[in-house]
Order: sequence, then structure tokens, then C-alpha cells
Amino acid sequence: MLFNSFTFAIFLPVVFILYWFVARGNLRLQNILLLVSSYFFYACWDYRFLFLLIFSILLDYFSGIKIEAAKTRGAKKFWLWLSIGINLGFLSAFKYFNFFAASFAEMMGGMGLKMDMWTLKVILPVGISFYTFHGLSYVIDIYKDRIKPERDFINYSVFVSFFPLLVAGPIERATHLLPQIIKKREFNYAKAIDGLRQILWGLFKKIVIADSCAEVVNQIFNHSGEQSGSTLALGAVLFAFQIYGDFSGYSDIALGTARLFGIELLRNFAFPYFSRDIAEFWRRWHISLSSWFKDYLYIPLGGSKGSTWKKVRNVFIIFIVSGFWHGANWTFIIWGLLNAVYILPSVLVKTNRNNLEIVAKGRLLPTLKELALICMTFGLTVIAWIFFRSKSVGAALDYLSGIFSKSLFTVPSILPYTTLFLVTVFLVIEWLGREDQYALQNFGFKWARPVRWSFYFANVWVILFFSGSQHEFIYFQF
Amino acid sequence: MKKFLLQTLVFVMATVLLLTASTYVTAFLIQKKNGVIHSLPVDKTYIIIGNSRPALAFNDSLISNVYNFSSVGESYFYTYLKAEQLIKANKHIDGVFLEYNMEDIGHKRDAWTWGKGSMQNNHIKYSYAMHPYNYKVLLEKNPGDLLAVYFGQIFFRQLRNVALLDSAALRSFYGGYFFDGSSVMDSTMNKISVNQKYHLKNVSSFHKGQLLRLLDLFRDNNIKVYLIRSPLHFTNGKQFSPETLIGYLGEENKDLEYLDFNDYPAKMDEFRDPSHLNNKGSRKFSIFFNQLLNDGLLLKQNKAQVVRNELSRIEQEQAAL
Repeated sequence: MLFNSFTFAIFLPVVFILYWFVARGNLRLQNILLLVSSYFFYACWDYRFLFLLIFSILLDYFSGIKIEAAKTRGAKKFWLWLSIGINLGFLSAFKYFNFFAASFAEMMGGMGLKMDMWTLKVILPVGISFYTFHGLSYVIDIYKDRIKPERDFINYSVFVSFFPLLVAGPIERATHLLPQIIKKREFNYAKAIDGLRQILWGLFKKIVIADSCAEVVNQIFNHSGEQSGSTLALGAVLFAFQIYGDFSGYSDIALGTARLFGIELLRNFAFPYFSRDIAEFWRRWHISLSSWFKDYLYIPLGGSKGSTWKKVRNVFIIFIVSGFWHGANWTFIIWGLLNAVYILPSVLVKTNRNNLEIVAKGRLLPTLKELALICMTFGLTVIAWIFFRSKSVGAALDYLSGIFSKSLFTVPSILPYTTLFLVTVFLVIEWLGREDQYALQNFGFKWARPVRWSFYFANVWVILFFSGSQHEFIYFQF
Repeated sequence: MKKFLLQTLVFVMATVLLLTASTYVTAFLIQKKNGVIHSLPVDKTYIIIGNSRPALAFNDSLISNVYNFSSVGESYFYTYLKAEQLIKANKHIDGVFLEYNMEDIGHKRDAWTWGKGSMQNNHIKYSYAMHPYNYKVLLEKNPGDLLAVYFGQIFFRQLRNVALLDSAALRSFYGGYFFDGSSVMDSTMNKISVNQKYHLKNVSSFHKGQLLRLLDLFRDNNIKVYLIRSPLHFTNGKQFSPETLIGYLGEENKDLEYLDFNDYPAKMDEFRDPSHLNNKGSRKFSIFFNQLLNDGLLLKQNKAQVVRNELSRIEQEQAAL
């Protein structure tokens, strides 16, 4: 069930009404309802993988209890690694087995040994990377004595499988979400309205921006060999907006939906394309994943402390793993490596925390220096996205060499005026709302109600205008 | 909670009402122009309807008494709506040439009926003329795209149509001879032997049903129907015989006459592609067709045989050259 589908448009109000009317005041009933609806939501993709999800929940639920109950450090460690091993085992089998098998066969082939590798013919269970990371953070936090295990199975299950975050995050932490699930929830008018507004903006980002860009991007990337440098550059830039609109749009819908049920999820995006350096970009892009890697991988490895060699090693590890998390393909690994190369100088000279505040705070326009830095950071990001979007590393390199040719200074052969206009409007609204949680949060708040409603109405209209055939969200494949 | 539900409900209702109202207003404006779009000159007593094949083949400026109202990518589902409007606006129509080949009642026409692109192009033209039946079909087959087209797009696209004040431009949006001077034919195609025989299992009962509705509509309005098949390049493969095609339409239609121009011997450079003539080909073909009509084809008993004989004659003449 896609967020941008009519099925979801029926599903959400039904669950909302049952939640606040039938189960109102009864926390247990509300949580059971959330769990049943989440399982239904997930089963709409493929009911067979529901059993895998439930197994993963059971594994971490019991592992958490066993870790706390274990008397010795060794026993605690055993249960921790059992959980990590099985979780990552499933993830590897479904997501990475074929990649390793194919890469191994290729390597052997390069050495003159022909190998006919056996590969798994399975589809990737949707959301596996996300719910596996939920579970891992939970057992690690118990092992580190940051939290106590949740003994109520329903509560724990809701934490892992709450439908707004189940298939593409944000990757929640038990320390943040579990207390909200355990606590009695009251309906809050302002928060509910805010939730609807965020859903509206998320749909705009996905349907109007991402899907419009996707059509041009597919056209350019699928026939990249025939395009001029300027057209290829345009395709890469539009892909940057496509992936941002797609994923941050999804996150906005997830956050807005959760807010309707009185639950606050972790913020996932904070206007990343207005970043002045790559370190800032990574503090603003897919925040829940970046902070997960920071807390559970980077800091345990030593973070930015220690020798220069250790700093370099840690930066490369975290970005390669991050790339690999996105998918079993060398293109994602190169994408990660490239970002590591981008960020490394600032980590070494300790300028990676220079830009903590949002750009041009309290001002309408950025300074020329800020604008130049934003453009440069965006340019670097776009180059990395080419690897992310391409089918192979070779294709990405061909694409790049195509961009940096004489034809870069010609007029693009494809000029999608409507898409460019929409992206411009989108950027303006994002810029104006950059000090809020999402662009539309306080946008037009001072306007009279009829004007504000007209704006929302126009938004709905544009969404409907561009809707129709539902495009899947890119991050579902991860 | 009450306030939230009330406000949300009011907003949703207001949105739906506004969208519906705007759609209806523009549909009404288009309907006002129905006369401009569908009224044909009184000397045009015959019409040609169908998809891109007749649209590119029949240059009606060279054919007396005939108006080509065919449209690219149009399935029978929409041709029916067009026919209704044409009949309503033109009491003087005596007969219709209707393109019919097995493909036209095949599943390939699904996308031409409820595909998003098709709804954008065809449904928008005739939204004002659609019946509950049409909406029922589209809603069943592709609800997502229908709602997107209906609520999101009709308003803007119809406004554009309203803005097309020039009647010729507006009418050509609905159908007409399609001038195409290009040719993507390759000389090597002569050597290709393609067998694309259309199989009966590919026939869709839905599209066949639409054709039967269309035939009933003309019958009910006493308009004589001549089924036609526009010229096709031989690389399209062996086609079903006219007898089979008519037989497939049931007992009620067994007396229909079929004018088959499939084997019209157009030259390579007279085709736009294997399925369509270009302007050069259509010019020659339309002169030929006009001559046939002037020679009283429609008054003759065995029209199909007359057409076959004429095609053989041209082929022999070309061979002699």
C-alpha cells in the first residue's frame, strides 16, 4: 500500500477514526489497533514477508529480555551477538547474497576460473533494512544499559512495525519512540492539523516534484549515450531533486501520519540542499540513518578521536557501510566512498562542525559567499548522485565523462519547462520555510483563512493534476 | 477533535465541490462549442471515422462528399461518443466509412481506452458527452488515473480548448485528415518477411462490444455503414479476410459491406511506416478512392469485388511500368 495511493487514502481515515473514537482512552486497545493496522499495511505488499517481520520482532523482543536477565557479561554478549547475527544474516541473505556470489564469480573469472555460482531467486522484503536497524538499536541499547527491555510484546511490536515508518523509516530509536507508545496519548488539534499539512507537503514533494523529475531523468539516464553534456548535467541535477522529493516526501507523509496518532517520529530531512559543506549536508540528509551509523558504528569505532589513520579509517568505514546499506551494488559503494572523500578534509582539519545553524538564519537572502558554498556543495552532491542512479560504475563514469565534454556549454536538447518551473517554485517555498521542521509548517500562517485555504486547495489541485499512475518510492528498494 | 473533523470535512468537501464545479463549467463551455466542432458542411454526406490509419490515409480535400473525422489513437469507446455528437449535429449524413481490423477489437486497444495518456487526450475531448456507463468503465479499469484526469486536468485542458477560438483548429483537435510528410520506411524492409498474424485469442470482448454498440448506433439512425481497412504494408503480415472479420461480428451484422484497401499497392516511399501512408501515399490513394466513389462504387452490388478488381488493375499497371 503506497502512501500516494487511493487505498491509503481510505485506510488512513478508517484507522484514524477507530483509533480516536472506538479505542479512545484505552491505550492497550489503541496499540493493538496500531499493530493490527500495521500488519495489514505490511501484508498489502506481500503477506509472506509478514512472518519474517514477526520473527524479527520476536527475536529482538526475547533477546532484549535475555540480555537484561543474563548474569554475566559473556552471557549478555552471547544474546546480543545472537540477535545481531540472525538479523544481519537475514538481511545478508535477502539483500546481499546474490551480490557477493556474483562478485566472487566475477573475481574468479578474472583469474581464469569459471564459476557457475548459485544465486537466490528471492525478492527483497520491503522495509527489511529499516526494521532490522530498529531491532538492532533496541538490543544494543539494552546491552549498553541505555534502556530497559520492553516486556509488553504489543508495545514492542508497535515500536518496530508502526505503519508510517515500517517500510522506509525514519529509523527510530527505542529511547525516543517506545516511551511515546507506552504513554497515554491525547488528541491534540494543533498537532493533527500540523500532521495534515506535513502530509500535504510530502505528497507535493513526491507526486509533483519527484515524479515529474523522474520522467525527464529516466529519459536522460536511459539514453545517456545520445545526450549532450548540458542535457546530462540537467538530468543529474533533476535526479538530485527527484530523490530528495521522493524520500523526504515519504518522510513528511510518515511524520505527518504519525502525528495524527499523537506520535512524534524523528526528523529525517532538514533542507539538505541548502548546506554549505558536505558535513552539514550529512547532518541534514536522512538524519535518522546518519545518526544511527554515528551512534552505533562511528563512535564505537573511535569517531573523530585518535590518530589521523584512525580518523580516516572510521570515515571510510561509515560511508562505505552507508553506501552498502542502500543496496548490493558497487554504484552505492562508490557513492559512499565519494562522500567519504568529500567529508574527510573537514574531519581532519576539524571544520566539519562549522555550519551547525541553518543558512541565513533570520535573513531573507544568503550572502554571496553562502550562495557559492551552497552551490558548490550541491554540485558535489550531484556528482555523487550520478553513481547512485546509474546501473553500473561504468555507466556512471561514461555519464560523467559525457557531462564534462564540449557540449556542456550548449543548450540542453531536453528542456522540461514545466518541471523546471515546478522545481523553482518548490525551491522558493523550501527556502522560505527553511527555519521550520518542514517548509509548509508555518507557511502562510499570517494569511487570512480564505487565502490560506486557497493555497492548500491549489496544492491539492496541483497534486491531483500530476497524480495518477502511482510511482513507487525509491527508498522502498532499500 | 470535533473541530478537527469538521474543518477537515469542510476542506475536503469544498475541494471536491470546487473541482467538480470547475470541471463542469469548462465542460459546459466546450459543449457550447459542440456545433463548431462537429457540424460539417452540408455537402459532406459521408464521414470516415477510426484511428490513425484512416486519419493518415484519406485526404478528404481530394474526396468529394466525404469528411475524414478519424483521430490518432482513438478506440471505439471514444469513437462512439464522437459518432453520437456527429449524428446530433449533422442530420444530412448518409453513410459512414468505419475502419475495422482485428487489432481494433484486440486487447492492445485497452491502453487507448483507459491508459492515462488516452484519457488525457480522448476523455477530455468528450467529458461533457460521457454517459454514466463510460465513467463506470473507466472507474473500474483505471480509477487512479481517471480521478487524476477528471479532477486535476480536465479544467486546464478544456480551458485550452475553449481558448482555441478558431473553429478549424478546434475541430482538428477532435479529428481530421492527418498530414504527415515523413517516412521511416527502410529499403531493407522489402526483404523482411514478417508474420504478425493476429490471433483470435487476442480479441477483447470489451472492444468488440464497443464496435457492436457503434454499429447499432448507426443502424438506429439509418446511417449506412461501410467497414473499411486502410492500406497496410505487407510487412504487417497476413491479415484476416474481410469475410472472417464480418463473420466475427455476429449474425446481425453479416450483411455489412467491407471495402478492403489492405493490398493497395503503395510504393515504399508512400508509407510513413508499415501501418500508415504518408502524405504522398495518401494523396494518390485519396484520388483513387475519390474516383471509385465518382464511378458509383456505393451504388454497385458487389462493392468488395469492385475494390479488389480495381486494386488488381493498379497492381498490373504498376508491374507493366
